[in-house]
Amino acid sequence: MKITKTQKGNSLYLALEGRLDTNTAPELEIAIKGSIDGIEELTIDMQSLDYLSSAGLRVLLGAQKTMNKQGSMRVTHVNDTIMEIFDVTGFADILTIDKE
Amino acid sequence: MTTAEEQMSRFNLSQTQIVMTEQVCPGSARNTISLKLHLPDFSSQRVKEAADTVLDSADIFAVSLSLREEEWVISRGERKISECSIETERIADLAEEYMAAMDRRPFNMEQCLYQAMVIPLSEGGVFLYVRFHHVIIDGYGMSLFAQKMLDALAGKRIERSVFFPENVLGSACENNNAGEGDNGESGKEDGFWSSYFAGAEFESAVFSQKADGNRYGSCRVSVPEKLLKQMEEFGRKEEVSIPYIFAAAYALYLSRATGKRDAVFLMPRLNRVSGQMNTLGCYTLLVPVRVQVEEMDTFGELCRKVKSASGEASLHKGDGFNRILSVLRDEDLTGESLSEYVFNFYRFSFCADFPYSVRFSVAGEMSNHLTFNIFRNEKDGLDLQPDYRENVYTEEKAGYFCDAILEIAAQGTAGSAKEPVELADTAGQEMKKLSDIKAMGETEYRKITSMKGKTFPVERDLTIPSLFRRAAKQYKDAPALYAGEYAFTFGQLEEISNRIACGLRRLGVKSGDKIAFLLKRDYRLIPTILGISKAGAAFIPADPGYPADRISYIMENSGAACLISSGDVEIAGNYDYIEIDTLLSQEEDLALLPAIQQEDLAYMIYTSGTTGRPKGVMLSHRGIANIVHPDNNPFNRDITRNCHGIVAIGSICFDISLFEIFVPLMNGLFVELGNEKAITDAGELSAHILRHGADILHCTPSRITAYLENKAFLKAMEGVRAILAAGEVLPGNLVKRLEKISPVRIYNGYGPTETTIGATITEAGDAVSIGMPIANMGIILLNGERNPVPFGATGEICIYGNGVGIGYQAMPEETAAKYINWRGIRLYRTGDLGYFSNEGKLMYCGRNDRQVKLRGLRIELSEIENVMGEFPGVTACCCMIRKIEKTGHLVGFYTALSKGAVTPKALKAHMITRLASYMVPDVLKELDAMPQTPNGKTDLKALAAEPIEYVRVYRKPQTQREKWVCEAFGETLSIEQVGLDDNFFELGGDSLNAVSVMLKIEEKLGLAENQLEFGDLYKYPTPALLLEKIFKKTDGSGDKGFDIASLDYKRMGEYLAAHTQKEVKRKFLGNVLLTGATGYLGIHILVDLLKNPDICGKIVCLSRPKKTLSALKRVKSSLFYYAEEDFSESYEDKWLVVEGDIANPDIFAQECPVPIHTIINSAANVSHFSYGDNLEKINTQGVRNLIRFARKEQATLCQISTISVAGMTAGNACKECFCESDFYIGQEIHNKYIYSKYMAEYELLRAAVKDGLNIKIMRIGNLQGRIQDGEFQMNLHSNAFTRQFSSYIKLGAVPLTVYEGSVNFSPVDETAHNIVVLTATEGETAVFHVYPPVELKFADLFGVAKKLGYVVEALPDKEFLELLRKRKQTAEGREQLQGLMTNEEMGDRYEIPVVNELTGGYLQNLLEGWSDITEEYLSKYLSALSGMDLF
Repeated sequence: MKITKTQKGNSLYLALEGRLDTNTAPELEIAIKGSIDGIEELTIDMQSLDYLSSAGLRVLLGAQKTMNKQGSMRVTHVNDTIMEIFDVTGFADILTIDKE
Repeated sequence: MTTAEEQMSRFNLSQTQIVMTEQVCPGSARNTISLKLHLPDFSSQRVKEAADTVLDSADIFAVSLSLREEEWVISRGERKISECSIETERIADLAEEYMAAMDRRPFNMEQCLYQAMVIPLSEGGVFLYVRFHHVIIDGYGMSLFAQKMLDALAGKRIERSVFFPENVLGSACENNNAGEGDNGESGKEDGFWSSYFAGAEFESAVFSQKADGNRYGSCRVSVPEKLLKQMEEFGRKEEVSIPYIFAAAYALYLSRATGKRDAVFLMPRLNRVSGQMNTLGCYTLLVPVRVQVEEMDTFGELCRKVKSASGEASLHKGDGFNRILSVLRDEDLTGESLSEYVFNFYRFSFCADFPYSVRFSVAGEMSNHLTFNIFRNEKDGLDLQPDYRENVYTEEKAGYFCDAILEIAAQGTAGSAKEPVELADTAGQEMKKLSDIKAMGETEYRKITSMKGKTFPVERDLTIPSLFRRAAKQYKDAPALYAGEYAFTFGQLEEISNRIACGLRRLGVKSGDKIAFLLKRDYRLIPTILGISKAGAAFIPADPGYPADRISYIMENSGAACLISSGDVEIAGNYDYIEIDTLLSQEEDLALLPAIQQEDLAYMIYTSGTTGRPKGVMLSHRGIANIVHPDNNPFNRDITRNCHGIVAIGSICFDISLFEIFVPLMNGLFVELGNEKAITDAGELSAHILRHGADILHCTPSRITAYLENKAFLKAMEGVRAILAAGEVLPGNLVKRLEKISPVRIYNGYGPTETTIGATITEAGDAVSIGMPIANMGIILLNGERNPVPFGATGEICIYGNGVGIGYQAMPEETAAKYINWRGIRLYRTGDLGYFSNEGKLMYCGRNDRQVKLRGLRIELSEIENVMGEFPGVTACCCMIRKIEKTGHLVGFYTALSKGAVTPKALKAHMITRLASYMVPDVLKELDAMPQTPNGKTDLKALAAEPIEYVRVYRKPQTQREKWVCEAFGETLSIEQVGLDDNFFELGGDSLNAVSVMLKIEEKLGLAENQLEFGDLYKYPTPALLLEKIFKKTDGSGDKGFDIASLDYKRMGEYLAAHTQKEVKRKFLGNVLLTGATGYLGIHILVDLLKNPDICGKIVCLSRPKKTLSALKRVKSSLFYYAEEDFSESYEDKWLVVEGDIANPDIFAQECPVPIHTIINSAANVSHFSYGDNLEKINTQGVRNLIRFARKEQATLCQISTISVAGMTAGNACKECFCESDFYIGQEIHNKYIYSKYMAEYELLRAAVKDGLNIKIMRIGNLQGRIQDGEFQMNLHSNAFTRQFSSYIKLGAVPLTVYEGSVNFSPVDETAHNIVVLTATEGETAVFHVYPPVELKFADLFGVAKKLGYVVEALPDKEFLELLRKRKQTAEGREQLQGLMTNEEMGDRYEIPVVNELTGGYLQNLLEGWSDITEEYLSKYLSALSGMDLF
């Protein structure tokens, strides 16, 4: 999976490309943990994300919990397939989601 | 499930319905139907031979019925056909009579079910009359019979007709139920009918009359050719056929006639498939149709509405009419009868080359009010032939009905212009709306607008003074007035009143002034009235007994010029008044007396309205001039010819007193003025009657009833000859009692003050109606839209004629509302409801405003009173709403013939059977006497103050659910102890805290969204009723759960035993159809199949698209979610996704692309608390659809089921544990989800036994995280187990009994794999129990949880419950407990243990099995859950 990082002041923007699963979830985790200090606004752009597995969900949840303490987190450009997963798992209530 | 033979010896649903009605009224002729064929050109012998031919051709005539143990049983082919007989010759009229008499003859069903006879006619030709019992033939069948007769007579061959009771399998013609030959009544359509009738506003009957036995009449009207053509053209343009046009006319007629928005009528539906169109037999199913008639619609729109409403209804007729009726009754959507109106359009077109005419009768002994039949006649036109119940309808009213239908049809279909509409003209071409259509024929309209008394001219110069002057002239020396010690002749009375008038004029009274008077009931009273009138002023009576408040109001409001009173009237001291004695001593000077016009204001009476301030009703002289005429009405005629004088006891503030005074006086009879005491004291009244031999009395029925207890009164009554007992409904028993005492003639009358005393008077002795209009007055009954109602229907009584007054003093809006101009006539709207009897007498129905709302429910107080009054021994009753402890309650007061004879308990029991539960009064109290107002009417104010007691009996809640609901009540209302029968509202609840208690109940019980509706608390306001309502459906009603005991398990036991082997052999699966592929189990089955490619051929995944996601996308997404690969490379080669839905009878949206050899059905709705039919639709109906598909493909059907089908028992199951070869062992199933899975297995086993379908049933346990990584399902929040578990975690506590127990724990991946492996075996073994042999100990699970940091303490059960109770108090606490709410309280029932040794053996056989549940696995599982934020 490819992660593109952009930081502007205390906003961190991560664009994901590919699949978020057991193999690639740790990459995302590291990417977030590495840059999260002092960040008040985290945006994860899922425009180019093909698939999401349960492992991926957990990482998102972890990030959400972290950001809840220091600011806010948004997930953007969520397509219908991913949105369906959020709905069924109940994550639609946990995450802040901007759809396409 | 049954062979053709067995099928033939059963009744079909249509026949079952008929047999049921037979059981309701055995020995009646209600199921006799007949045909009458008139054949002018044939001989008796020819016709007989033809009839015998036809009878012989149909096997239905060889059927016989027998009664076995109170149930009817049918057998085929045993009876010899009874030949057609030839009767003696008759003339046509007598032949008709004879046939009509035969129509009414019931059948001895065990002996014969039909009878054919030829009746030779003296005029030449014959009648062929055949009567049938409806169980062997329906209306359409009779038409067929008639046509076959015509064919036989023409020499054509008559084909054999064989009656198959069941409809052909799989056919969709008019959509009979399921095509599986089941006998309906399954309740599948219950939900549809509830919603079809939801919110319906309709009446089942137009007319209130009771029928006269079962006698019926019939009339026939041909539809004019021109109209028929017009209707046909309209039909073409609007795309509706003729039957629907008539049905629409029917709907409009019913809506207008009942005054309700919805029309409901019944339609028999043909219910035949194409192979049955020539069969003589019985198939029709009756179906109710509900149409919303909106006045703003066009007629075309109404036709379409009717078409769609009846089409919809027809699709869901499969449960039978009786079932539909009981569903609607259960929901209080209808009373005893749904509709008295049937619509019967006979489509059959006959053909013959010779003259004939055919008539049908389906009335037998009619049980409804009107059956609207439409037939094709021999001229190829249409005939309307309504069959109507006698007395409800008469020949006249039936004729009006036909007129109305034709009128509606004519107006509605008019304007189907042939000329093309020019563009410029479209603005003017507005479609006619229903509101423009008059739903009544000319004749009827003329009739209802001429319900009036005799019309004869009344001299224009007649006024109160001029009338009296004339009387005084004629009767000068005759006695006019007796008042106490005083007596006056007419001459004297004239003189005194003149003096008063002159006195007033001298004081400055002008014409048009209003003068109030406040006098005692002595000799000065009547002269004062006359005097004021003669002075050119209007008199306004006031009662010395009134509170000052009211008198002041009258004075002010009326703008009275002055007040006449006297020193002896105490209250007069508050006012300036003219002393009457002064006026009496005045000089007479006729010159002072002004001329008076009939239209001048004559008097003003203040009515006490039921709400708000009194209204001053203004009347001119015209009404009095009319009503005192000796020929005005039967009462006047009687007394002016036969009587001498009246005792006047009516309070002067009520205009009936003016009737008492003026009618006698203006006609030379005397008035014995009753003093104050005479009004209320029977003895005093008697003395008055006897004093001068008065022989006329006016008295309210309730007063007379009370006085009849008094001996003196009985004696005095011997001399009385005429009684006007008006003001209330006259009870029938009163008339009878009075008739025993003396030859007294009793009259009743009706009329409001606003139309001068009375508008109708009865004939003597009429205790049924309120009479007919008096001379120069008329009545018209209007509905809510100010349209006249059909003759005989109920409407608001509106009065027109000479007596209609001027209006209300200083109330222009009120006046405009009540005194209206209706089509050029000035009417007064009374607010009373009535209808005309068949003889044209007015019948009283009660007031519009005796309808109250209690907790949002509409209640007719008069309806409750009627029911109360029916109870033997009750003499008078009155119902009202009273406040008890701040809440409104229905209270009923009554008096009885002998005190104590009618107990409240008995009365209540009677009322419960006759009224909806919320209309039964909470309190019933017997009174010694019904309190009365001075006017003699029931004193509602006194009753409102009558002390009443209401005692609550405490019933302790037993089960957990009961406790929770009582708690919810108690918490909301802050009451310690709430019993099962305590009414929420009487405890102090109101609409505000109703919402919060409902939410609490929902939470505590863990209810799904629409299990509890907001309105439920009002209809079921106690915990007991509420629980009954909520769990009636989901719980399978009652102690035994869903009825699985009475299913037919024939040969299933054998089948299962034969299909349980000791070993299993592998088998290639072939192409697999997998349903539910996106589900937790489905995905893992798919993955297993993909990972073991040798086990099957192609895999077709059936999935539904969802919103914008295609089925393929959904499957791929789920695949990746769980398996982290999407298997794209092998897509198309190895597997594919196809759109479809197992709830769809055809399943696939498009054809299945490959042949299927094995179906694995893992599609299911697993919500344990689902309302509505969704569970059934997918879990059971879906399986039926798959069975059909499997049969077609000759595939093996593998069904994923659950071990919970083992159910529960209270100890009376026939086995102690449930193994693979068990199905029904006497268990109970109470849960709707489990029931749906049980029924799915039932369907499968039935298909296996009946058609040899290859089946496999996989009963699985509690699916949980996979062995591989502990990962659980996506929708983890909806899993009952994890929810329960997470509650324990959040609470930090668990009950000891749970902690020490164990639970089935099936990792999904191993379960999926084992399912696949076991499915891929030979067909000899059918059922498998697929779950690990060892259960998970809760202690182990909690142990691992503790290691992860989730500490849960095991508490003794009592302490745990205590903790629960505390936590439930807070919102946060309640949230934590969510998962525990769904546990069902099953009392002393326990789950039947399930065993799986056999399956274990098979798996070993195949070198498969289960992994151990290790700590490592549990740790992964719990981490996975916690990572998803479950705790």
